[in-house]
Amino acid sequence: MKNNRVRLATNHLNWAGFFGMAWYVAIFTLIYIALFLIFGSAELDSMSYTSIGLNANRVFMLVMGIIVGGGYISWAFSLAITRKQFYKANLLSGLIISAILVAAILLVGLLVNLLPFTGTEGIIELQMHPVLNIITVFIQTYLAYLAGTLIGMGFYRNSWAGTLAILITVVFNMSPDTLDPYIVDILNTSNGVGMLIVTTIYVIILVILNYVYTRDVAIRV
Amino acid sequence: MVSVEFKNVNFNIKKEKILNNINLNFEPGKIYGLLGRNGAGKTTLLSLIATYQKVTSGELTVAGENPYENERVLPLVNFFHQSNYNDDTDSIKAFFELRQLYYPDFNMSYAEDLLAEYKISRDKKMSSLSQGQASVIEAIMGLATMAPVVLFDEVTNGMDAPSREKFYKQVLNAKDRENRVIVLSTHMVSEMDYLFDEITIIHHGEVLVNETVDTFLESGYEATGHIEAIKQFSADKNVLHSRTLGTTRAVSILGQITEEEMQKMDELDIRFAPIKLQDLFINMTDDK
Repeated sequence: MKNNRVRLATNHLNWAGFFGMAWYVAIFTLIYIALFLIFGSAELDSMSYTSIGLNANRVFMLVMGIIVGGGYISWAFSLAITRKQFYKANLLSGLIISAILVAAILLVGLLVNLLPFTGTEGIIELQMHPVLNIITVFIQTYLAYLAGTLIGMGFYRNSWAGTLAILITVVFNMSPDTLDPYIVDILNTSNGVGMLIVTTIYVIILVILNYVYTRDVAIRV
Repeated sequence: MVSVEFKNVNFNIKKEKILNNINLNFEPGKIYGLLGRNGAGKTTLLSLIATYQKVTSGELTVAGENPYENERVLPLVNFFHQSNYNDDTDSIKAFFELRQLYYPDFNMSYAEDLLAEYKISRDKKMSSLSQGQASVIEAIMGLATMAPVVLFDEVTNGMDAPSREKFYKQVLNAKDRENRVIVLSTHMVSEMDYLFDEITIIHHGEVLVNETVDTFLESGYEATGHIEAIKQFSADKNVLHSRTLGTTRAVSILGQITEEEMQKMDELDIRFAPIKLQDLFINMTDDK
């Protein structure tokens, strides 16, 4: 990051993200423990903290993306950060927060799993190497953030762009699961590889779409 | 030295023409008054300089370069308009420090001196500022950021009269003013006219007037005298505005005063004075 303004903006967006993340992880952990204490593991399909947490991360990152995408461009502009610099900072910050959030849930999950009343089952059992599993979860989390920023920026531009972004988000969030078995069948590979491939392609598409949405956005006075 | 130049600039939103064939030049060391009725295009014009929006056609340059998405030029331009700080949990001090990070030339001691004049604590939260105080903070940032181009869009709205007076004084005494372009967009014409070196009047998206205040004011004069004398004197003249108090009447007349008219005024015991900028502005932008 040679450009000082991009580095500064990335840092500021990171701190905003970390602040939200700290609240989210703490509240999510408390709710998980409280639910399993009150209802018992069997009532909740014995779902593990990590499994629920990694899925909930996507919702959190989608919301963070919407807030940053639509709410921070005017802030950035008031500090002489160009649209392109904001775009770079936003993408970098989303990447960093996604990685740290996945790591945080995995780490807290190790501690929560020590409690005797918690669950142990995963929502989807992928057959890939554990590292590939984690990479897939990380890319899914980042995808949610990018989808969020597209929605936020879309509605900042106008309602049509925002609505289109919501449609793209719905398709991009639902289809990797659906397409996985077909791709696995074609490539004759492990369950989950299809999801990883499709999600990666969607991330690339959203990186491009975010640029298209940001590059000439009119800043509101 | 940084100047701002518009050459045949047009700005449309969809098919609607917002600004039409704008030709302007803002030079350093001068304070420009940007006047216009509501919806005339003042804010849009300023937002184009600050690259909030992109010109549709024509050429806009700041420091000789196209400012749009220009990393070198964007920090040279500061655009201040009424902002809402209700969600900002930072203190004023932290807010200024953030600005200092992005604008290395931000003069913190100058900002604090200006702030002290308004008796606002730097520890006060931005979210707890009144509308007038928020305007003061905008004004202080505009002066202390030390950017070569400072655009104030109705920044005195919400300020009380003493605060406005302080702001006007601070603008006149702004640090490094000789190297800065200061543009003040305002509706408070009568209050601020003494600040302006030049005025630009925008009307229906076009530049109606762009000249020095002195030249502009030479286009009219005000005559005061007995009501009958004024009636006689102004019968064949373009009267912009008239005020009557008892048997005395004051009229604002469009047109340059001649030797012959001076003599006639002497005979009729009529006094004359420079026309008020506000009267001239109101008349020129009256669509009736």
